[in-house]
Amino acid sequence: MMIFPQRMRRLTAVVLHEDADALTRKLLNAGVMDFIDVREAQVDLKGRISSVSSPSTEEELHDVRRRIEMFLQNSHLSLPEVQSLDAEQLQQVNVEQAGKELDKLAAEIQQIRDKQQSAQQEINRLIELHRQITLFEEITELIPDDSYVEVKAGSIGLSRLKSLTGGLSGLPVYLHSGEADSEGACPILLIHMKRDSQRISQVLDRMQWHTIDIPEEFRGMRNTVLSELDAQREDAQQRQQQLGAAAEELVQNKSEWLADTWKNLRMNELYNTMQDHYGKTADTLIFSGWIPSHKSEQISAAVKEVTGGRCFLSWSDPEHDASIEKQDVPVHLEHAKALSPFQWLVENYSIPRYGTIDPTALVFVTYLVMFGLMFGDAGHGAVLILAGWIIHLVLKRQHADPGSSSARLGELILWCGVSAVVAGVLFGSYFGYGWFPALWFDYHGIVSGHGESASLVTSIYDILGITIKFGIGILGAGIVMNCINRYRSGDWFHMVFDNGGILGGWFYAGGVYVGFQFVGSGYKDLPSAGILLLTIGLPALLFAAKAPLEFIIEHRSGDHRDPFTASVIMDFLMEWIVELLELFTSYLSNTLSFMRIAGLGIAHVSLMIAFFQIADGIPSAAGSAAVLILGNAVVIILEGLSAGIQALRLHYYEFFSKYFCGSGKVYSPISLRSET
Amino acid sequence: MYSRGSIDYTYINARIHGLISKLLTEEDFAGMDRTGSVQEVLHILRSTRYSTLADIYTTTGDIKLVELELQNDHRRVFQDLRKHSPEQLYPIIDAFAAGLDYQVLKESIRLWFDQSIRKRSISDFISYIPHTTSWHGVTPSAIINASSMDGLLAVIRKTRLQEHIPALEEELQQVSDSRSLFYLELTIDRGYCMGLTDAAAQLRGVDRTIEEQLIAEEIDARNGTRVLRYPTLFSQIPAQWSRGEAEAHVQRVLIPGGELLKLPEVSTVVIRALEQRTGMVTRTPSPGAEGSQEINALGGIMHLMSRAPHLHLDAETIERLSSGREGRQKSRIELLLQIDAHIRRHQIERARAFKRGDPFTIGTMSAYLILKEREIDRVRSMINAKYYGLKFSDITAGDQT
Repeated sequence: MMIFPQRMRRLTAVVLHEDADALTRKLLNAGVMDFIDVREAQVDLKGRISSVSSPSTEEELHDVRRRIEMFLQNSHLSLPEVQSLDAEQLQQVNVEQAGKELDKLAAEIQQIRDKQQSAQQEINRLIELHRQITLFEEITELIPDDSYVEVKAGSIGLSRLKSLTGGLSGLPVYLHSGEADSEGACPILLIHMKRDSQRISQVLDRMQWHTIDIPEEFRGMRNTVLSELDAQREDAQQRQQQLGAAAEELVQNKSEWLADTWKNLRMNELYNTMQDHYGKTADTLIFSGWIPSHKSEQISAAVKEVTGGRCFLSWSDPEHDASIEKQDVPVHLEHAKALSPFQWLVENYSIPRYGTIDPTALVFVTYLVMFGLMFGDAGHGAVLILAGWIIHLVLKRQHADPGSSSARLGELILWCGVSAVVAGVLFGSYFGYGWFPALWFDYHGIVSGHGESASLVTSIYDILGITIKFGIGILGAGIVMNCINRYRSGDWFHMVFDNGGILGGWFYAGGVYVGFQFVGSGYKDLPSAGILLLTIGLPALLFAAKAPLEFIIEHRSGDHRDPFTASVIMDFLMEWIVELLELFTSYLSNTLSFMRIAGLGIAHVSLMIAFFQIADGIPSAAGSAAVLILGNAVVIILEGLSAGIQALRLHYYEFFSKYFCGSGKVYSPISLRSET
Repeated sequence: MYSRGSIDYTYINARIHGLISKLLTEEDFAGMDRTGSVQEVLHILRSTRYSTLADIYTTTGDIKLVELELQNDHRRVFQDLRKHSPEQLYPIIDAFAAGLDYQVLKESIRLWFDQSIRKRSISDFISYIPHTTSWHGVTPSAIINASSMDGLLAVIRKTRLQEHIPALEEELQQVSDSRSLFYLELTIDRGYCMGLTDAAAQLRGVDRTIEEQLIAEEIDARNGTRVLRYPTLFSQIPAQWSRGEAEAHVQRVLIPGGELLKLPEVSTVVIRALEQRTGMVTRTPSPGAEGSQEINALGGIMHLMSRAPHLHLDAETIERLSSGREGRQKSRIELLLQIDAHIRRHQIERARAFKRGDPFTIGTMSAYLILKEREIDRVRSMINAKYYGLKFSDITAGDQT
């Protein structure tokens, strides 16, 4: 668990052309270097270094790889594991050849799709005929005029039956043949669309069709016809499925080649990406990038080993190199997996700038405490744990990226559930019931007006007091963290004069002391004048020096500013007064803002009490239980959402605004293990 | 009725902004264009709103079912908008949605025409007509299965479509003689645009202005495309035509209400060409028939179009297009496609401008409808291009009419 982002070092290296390939493979396998485009970074070399050309563009490689992914995924085959990639196995890929292979595979699949399409057209014809036949009641000559179907009965020679079937293929036709008589004449029932009459008549004429009255054996067989059409449709659908399976099998047969090519393409893509960052001179290559400090020795040794020492390596530390802007240094936030949802909350606000405090670990504690205080019920917490776990399982089944927002939200819900369970045990609340005594104080009892007098917390005011003290602690921590950030960046002026700096903190601490003394005296007495002067007066007076000092510093640094005149003194005075007013109002509102924790906690309990009262008023046990179940669901959804959002709001607006230095750059090394 | 600043649009417009953010990007289309087969295009679409298309194709191998699903998706867009819009917007949504029904009508009549006039088998195509469509209880099946022209006319009368598409019956009756559906389809398109214009007239204030401008753009796109795609409509005007015949011809082939080509101006150009007998061409006489003289008024009409700066129509281009002469650098077809693309691009740009504009107007919704329609057209074209092994740009041009 890190309080500050990992220390980074910048490597700038010059190697010979002949070592480039082996070195790139080595760096790819290491996967720790966040490259800088050396042609942009080395201003003095601009124009003297050129880019390294690759046989295939990244776009070409990417497109072919995507095509392979399509074939694999459509055949329900998983992509190769990135863990299995090894840059030493990398071979130059012939994109054109790979493309041709894929075209061939696509063409083979297309042939199958064409057959599927034929089956589909057969299905369509059967469906149309089925739909039309269902519109009339029975097989008879008396088809309604508005029907699009015509029914014919006739006889042909048995030997022509096959030809007849062939001649009618491709048309929506139902054909049923009866037993042939002794002369070989076979009775036929034919149902077809009226619009096809002319074409069908031509076929029938060729087959020497002899029209007869519909024989008795064919009458009353509407349902049989429909069943047969259904069976034919099912048969066609089955064929279609088999064809689909055949298409999948084609891909499965090539899966080994597809997987190997995919791996090679992926490695080539990363290889090219890495080489895109290199600069080239006549004999050498130059590259530069950021590496976590603790990996620098390993990379140094690897480069020397690959090049046989024929290299020049230069390491720069942002802490000691004034030419490096802190915002240009990538930030690597590394925490235990359990903290990933809280890292997500921090990253959503902004990436902490390199060298400043990464509050993830602190947010883990403070967020959960706030949530627990607002949503203190062990039963409701258990529901949240269950919900978080279900989200986790569903996403796992869908092979979702564990770093996705949904996955992190699921984990956050699970953690919030844990927090609510702990708080619920402390407050003795289990779905609103007091099944076990409270370990800290009885929240329900206090809100409903019958709290235990023996407890240290006996009234709503006590709860409000707890949250205010908690808020003071958070804001105090924010001020301390701001001072640390300013100290580390050498920004002495703001460390002292910032609203969240030493003077601001002093003023706030003084204000808190005076406030507690005043409340402690029953709102009657303020501390003595001497203490007031020391706690509030002195820091307020010292703030008066801020504007003049800023004026002097800016003049010395050469920043343009108006010349010193009498009106400037008035400006100083006004700035001082406004600053004090802002300081007072912002700290007061920030502190009182934490009362919302109590407010939401009380609302949570009050809602449960309300639902209990409604349930008590319902005579039937089932109705009462339904109200309680519904009430609990409403409270879990409504209050869960409110508590989560309010806890986030308190962090973003009250806590982070005091010290957070954002707009850092995320550390993103070129690695074989990175997600595709 | 609506006026500027109506807060009733807040919800629907916020919703539409969400939908607009899900529209496919140019990168998506570029990615699809680089693929080698339908299946790959559909795979890319798996991660978009069109995810169901891939499953349909994998199961059935039937590209026409995929197209049908695209049409159904388009229909759902209108249903969704209607569900979440204030009632006053219903007429304009319905007018846009009618476009789909008119498409079904065209396809149904086309199938009837193939079956009854051209004597072709239509069995393989009939299942791709949405049978849920109905006009006063008349389904596409009734049109397709009509026994004769009289039967078809009787069915069409039951649809009461004549109220919305004037001249529908008149054009239908000429189909048998001309053995062409060309003018009938133009008439149905005109009916669609007139429906939009009527719906826009029910709006008030800035909404009406916005809607009229967008509809004028739509009409311009259709008229411009017609002139470009079917140059013979104006380049082979019989020299013996009277003034009235010329006016009737213009009314028949162009849609009123646009900015690019105003019908009275076009009529004037054609009549002037007839009177001056300028650009006269002589048709090669067919055996047994006397040669007839024809007037070419296309150049004059293209001069009218050149007033729109976004078309970049210079004198040389007009001369080449109206004379049918091929150039060295670009073929005539390429030139036509380029102008066609300018027209469409301008329409899309106008729609986007309205989308970015005042959020309390109808502009956002109308822009979305135009952008969505264009997206569905392009997806359909892309799928067809891959299926038939054509270049996307070729088939896109063919799809824009």
